[in-house]
Amino acid sequence: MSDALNIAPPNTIDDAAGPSTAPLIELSAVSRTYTVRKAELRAVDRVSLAIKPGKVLGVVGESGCGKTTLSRMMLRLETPSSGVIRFRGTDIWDLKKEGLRDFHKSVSAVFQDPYSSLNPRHRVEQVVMEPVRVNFGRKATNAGRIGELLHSVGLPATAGRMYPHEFSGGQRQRIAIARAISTNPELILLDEPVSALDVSIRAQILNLLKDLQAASGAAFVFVAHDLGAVRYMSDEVIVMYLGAIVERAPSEALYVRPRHPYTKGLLEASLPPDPRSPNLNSSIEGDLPSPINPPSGCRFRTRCPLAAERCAREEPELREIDFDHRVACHYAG
Amino acid sequence: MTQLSLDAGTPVSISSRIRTLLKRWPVGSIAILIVLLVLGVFAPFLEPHNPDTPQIMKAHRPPVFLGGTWDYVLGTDDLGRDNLSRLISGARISLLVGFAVVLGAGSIGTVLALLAGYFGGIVDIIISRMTEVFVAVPFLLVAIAVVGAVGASTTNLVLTLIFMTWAGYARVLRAEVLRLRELEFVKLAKVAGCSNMRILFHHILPNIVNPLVILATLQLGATIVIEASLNFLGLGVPAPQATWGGMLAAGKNYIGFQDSLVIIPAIAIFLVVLSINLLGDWLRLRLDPRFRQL
Amino acid sequence: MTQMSGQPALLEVKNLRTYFRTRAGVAKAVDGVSFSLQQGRTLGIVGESGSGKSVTMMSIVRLIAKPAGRIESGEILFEGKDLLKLTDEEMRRIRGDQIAVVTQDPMTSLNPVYSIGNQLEEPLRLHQGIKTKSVLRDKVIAGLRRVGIPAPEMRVRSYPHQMSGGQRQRVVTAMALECHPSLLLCDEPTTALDVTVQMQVLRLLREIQREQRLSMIIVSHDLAVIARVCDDVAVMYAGRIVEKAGLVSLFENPSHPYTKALMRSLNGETDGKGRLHAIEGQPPDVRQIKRGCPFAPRCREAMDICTSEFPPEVVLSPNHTTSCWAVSAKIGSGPR
Repeated sequence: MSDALNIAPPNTIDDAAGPSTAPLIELSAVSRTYTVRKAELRAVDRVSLAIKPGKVLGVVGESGCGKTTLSRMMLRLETPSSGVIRFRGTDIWDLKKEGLRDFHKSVSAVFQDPYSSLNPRHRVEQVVMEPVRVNFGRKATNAGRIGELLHSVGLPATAGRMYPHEFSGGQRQRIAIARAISTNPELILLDEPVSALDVSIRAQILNLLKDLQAASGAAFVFVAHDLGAVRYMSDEVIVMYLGAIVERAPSEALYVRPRHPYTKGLLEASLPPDPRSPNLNSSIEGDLPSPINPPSGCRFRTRCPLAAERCAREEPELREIDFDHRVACHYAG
Repeated sequence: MTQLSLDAGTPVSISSRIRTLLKRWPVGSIAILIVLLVLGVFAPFLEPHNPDTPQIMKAHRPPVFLGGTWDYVLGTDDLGRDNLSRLISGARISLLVGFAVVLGAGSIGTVLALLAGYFGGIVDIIISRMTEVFVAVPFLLVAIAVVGAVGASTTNLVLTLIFMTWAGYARVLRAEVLRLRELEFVKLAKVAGCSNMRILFHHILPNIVNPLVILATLQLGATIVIEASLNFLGLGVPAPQATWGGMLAAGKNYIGFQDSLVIIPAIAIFLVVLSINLLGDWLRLRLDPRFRQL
Repeated sequence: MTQMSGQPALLEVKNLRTYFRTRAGVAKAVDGVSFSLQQGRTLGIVGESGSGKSVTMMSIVRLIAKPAGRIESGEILFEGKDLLKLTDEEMRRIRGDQIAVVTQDPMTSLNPVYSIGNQLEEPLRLHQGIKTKSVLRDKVIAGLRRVGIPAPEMRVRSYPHQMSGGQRQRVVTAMALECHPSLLLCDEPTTALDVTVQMQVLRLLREIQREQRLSMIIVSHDLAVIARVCDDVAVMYAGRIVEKAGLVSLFENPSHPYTKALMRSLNGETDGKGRLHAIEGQPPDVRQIKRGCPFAPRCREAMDICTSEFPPEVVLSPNHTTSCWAVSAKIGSGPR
């Protein structure tokens, strides 16, 4: 944490709400549009957020909500169409040489698919140590460090000499995690890290991630469609729908008292069912509208139980409804 | 529980072992190709006679199985040259040209496929258009024109063949690179800060080796046929060097009089190309991970 | 599941074994599975990847990839006749007519080059011999309306890619229901869908089941899905059923250690230190199942006998059985 402070340039924009530390990564009105058959698809729409060192931000939403595009932009894999992403105060697309090297040392990722995440032609030790090798040089990749990393994700040191296909899905995800922590990064982006795994393996991996987060003090961005996993991991949660943030709140507040009708529906659907009277009535009806031509006004209004005439005219702003609890809805109370 | 024949521990008879070996490995193809390789590499030591020196007095001797002598096992041609020696000498040329062309065209095609597939955009458009043009060109006519313009020589033959076949590699491998580029390990390599060169040669190249090997094997067979055709037309390796295509061309004048002059090189080409293609098919099944399961 | 002994079961699976031959050995994907399904009830089969739940379902309709896969032994009695003894032609007539299947991915079970209407007419022509164009159209539109597709008169002309995932799943369901099957098999019917859409599809399945007194088998890795639509549940692990019970009985008294662990993860329970309850170890490789209980290597309650012999079925109540040495030791009906 203190490292982050020292390196951060003095002209960092002050976070209005946060009195203490400067954000590690900060997104200001970031949008990303794609052109699909001459039509414009706004995958991410004016998203602003900031993550402080050591914090865990959960990003929740269903398919097509823009959460993956958002994470790809934070990883510098995609350029925003508008808006700025700053890492320790500098636009990540202005980074040059040393700054860029530092960005790659400080940011890593774990993706959903444990099969395509590991190069099938590389030994586990090559996979795990690659970030160290390209950022710190070959000398930094000693055998002791490999053993240490594998041990910290619960794999034996002998795994280093093996190839990915010799492991099960859960073990592969452990290898991917070992790679992600190899450079002691300050920000790890986890894009659906457990949703491709078997139910009995998910808890293992979530426990491992939580332990590693506590031990390393790295900030996590935890992207998932599964509210349960996000609740377990996160300090703060944002809920996205059709490219925009509809609710943002501290984790407990969101689960105890969700304000946006969409969040409420998501939460209902993810509650463990009561076998004596299984509830199949969801408050959200219908299908996701086409992102190419989203509804006017509030984008959720076509499926919303609270929708009124005003919702079609006016797009709700993200407003603070409670301490640190923001919601984009005219009628949420 | 049902007894299963695949359970380990049951003693396996030698004959059934041989049967599995024959089923799993293209034994015939490999044997023929090993013979070809040995003949090609050690040609000067294996030729019983000088393949290129005419001895008019000994012309048109029949092969041993048609009443000839063991001195000239496969008989002699119209100039009295030993057919076996010429076949061995021609094997060397076929191999040399075949491997040189596959190596050259394979390298060029692979590099262009990597660049086009990975970088996309304008690079891809230029390379892909070039590939399409080269795939569409009537090959034989261009070869005739090129050799006509610059003259027949082994080097020109190899260069012409490389020039004409690289596009096949580029087209197939580009599609493979496009698929690999979207995989998560490539994205994670970018996140780790790997350079484009490292991603291309360290991550993507090792993953296209299997299709490349399969393609190269099949191309080797095709190249040998094309090389024989060009030699047949007199557009390849200049005389008096023996080539299989050249032997066919010389022998065609004696069809009906001494059929073995045509049949022997034809069988040689047929066997070698068939073996290579069978090996290629086997490699495809063996190396393609989609077939590896089950 | 055996409680209504007066009525014969619609489907009875006895000691089913389906094996796959792979390079790495024989995969005993389904290894001695028995269950029965009464008319008008819904059975859920829950298990992880490799548990054999989907293979069990595909064995019922005899859609096992040959030659690697083979039904080695067992009986599948449907309305009293053994499906495994039928010829391929007889089986083809039952499949899609009396027994229908809804698969996981609605995108791959619909042909992208034919319109929805076209594809829905196919089974009617095939199984019911209807030839008249207008009758076919009417039946198809009625079918689409029943699964809640808005404006079905327009929709018959659409192509699969023009519909959302939830709508495609409805279309596939409509197709399965067209010939009024008596048994509907659903393989992970909602896994490809978003949670909010999942609820709608599950509700549709339950409504149709109630209305038509249909018998259903739903295969899923997700206990939450099973809990919302099923009457009975079978829990599978490594090719075996380890616990069978009525839904409420299973949820209130899970007895097999694996079922208990699944329940804990469903509820997101944490231990005293705020960590999630996890099942340690890796899922079994069905090509390398050793003797004994396949769950033993991951089981906290494992005893010596667990690694040497597969536990017999213990009856806990008329409608609740499990196969676990620890449970049989507890209730005093120990080994032999």
